[in-house]
Amino acid sequence: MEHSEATVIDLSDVHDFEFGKASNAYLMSIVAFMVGLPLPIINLAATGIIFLESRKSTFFVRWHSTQALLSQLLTVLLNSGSFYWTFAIIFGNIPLTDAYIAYLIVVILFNLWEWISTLLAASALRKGKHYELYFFGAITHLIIKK
Amino acid sequence: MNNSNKAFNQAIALLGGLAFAWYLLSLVPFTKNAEWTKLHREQEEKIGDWMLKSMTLGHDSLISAQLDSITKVLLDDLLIQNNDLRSKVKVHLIQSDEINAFALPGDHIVVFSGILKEMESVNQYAGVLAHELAHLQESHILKRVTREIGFSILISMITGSGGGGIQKVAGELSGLAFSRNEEKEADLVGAEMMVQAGINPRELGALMAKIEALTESNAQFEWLSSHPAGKNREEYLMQYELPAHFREDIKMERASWLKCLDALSESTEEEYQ
Repeated sequence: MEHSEATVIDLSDVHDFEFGKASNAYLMSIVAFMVGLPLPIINLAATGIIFLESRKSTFFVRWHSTQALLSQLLTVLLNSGSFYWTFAIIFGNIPLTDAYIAYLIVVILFNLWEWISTLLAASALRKGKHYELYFFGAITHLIIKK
Repeated sequence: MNNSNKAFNQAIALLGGLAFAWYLLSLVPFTKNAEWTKLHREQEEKIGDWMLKSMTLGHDSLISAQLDSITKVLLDDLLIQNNDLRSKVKVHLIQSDEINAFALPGDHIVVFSGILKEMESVNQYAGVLAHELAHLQESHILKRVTREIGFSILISMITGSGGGGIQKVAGELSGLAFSRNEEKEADLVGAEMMVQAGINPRELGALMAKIEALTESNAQFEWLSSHPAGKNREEYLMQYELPAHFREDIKMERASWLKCLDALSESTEEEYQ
């Protein structure tokens, strides 16, 4: 996780209302996470809706909607893996192994990290600060241009 | 550092970190000697005892000194490489017209007199025993129990109901067949056991062919319905290639076997350990 004052994004160009809208992209995924915990796809869908809505918005809002979406994508991929692996153990012929338990621990830790990062991002934006997530921020810079 | 380099480096660090953490954690022996696996075994035995009682209720057990002794010989020979299962397995011969034999949790094997009467040689009896022993050896029963208990818990979590307990699960288990993969595995592992015991696995294929033919005209032939895809299995068992070192060991002459079957009517409870 990396908390940096914007070097690429100039905050003097950002209006107050944009911080609120950008923060909503993260809050949406947190709320959806709590509602649809067993089905990780719900977070992705919620973030995707915010992303689609913000396509014609300002650069700052688009940037944060994209960062929120990208962070959800990896979470959903990892969570889907654990969901189907668990499903295969219960209903299929796959044995319960140490590798499965290890994967589950990694996914839980990653979810915690992602969840805390999302909360910090939403909170920073509410305070009028820019916030970049580790890796997802760098990717977002490559995707979203002014 | 430009954005592409930064993204690339951070991707390597993040994904590499996750993969490394997974690798390190997977070295921890979480499942080895875990207390819950022992509890599972106890549960399996309880379920097995309960199922055995409920499925043989109203049926007498068979008594036949000859069948006793040949069953012991076959178990010794088939399980020559699995002393652990040999010490646990219990074969129950039950008086019933149903053409059926099955393995139950807790290392029980139930063989009905109905299927015994269809067997033309002791080798076919060995084939059925080998197949059911393979289900036990490969833990197919435990997997069924795990699946059903897991499914029951999942359903109760989704519906919010309290669940039906182990007895309900055990009741549902009795109606379920093994998967095709499990059947094939049991056939092939059973065939290996037969070869080691000096018995030609094609004998089991021949029994399947006979039951398959009878099944088409009579719905009471349960063995193939609880052991699906009979025709396909019959084919690969009939084409089973015997190793060069294979030497047939005659366990019982055909005439003695048929005489033994004739005596089946005089029976009471027997258990082979």
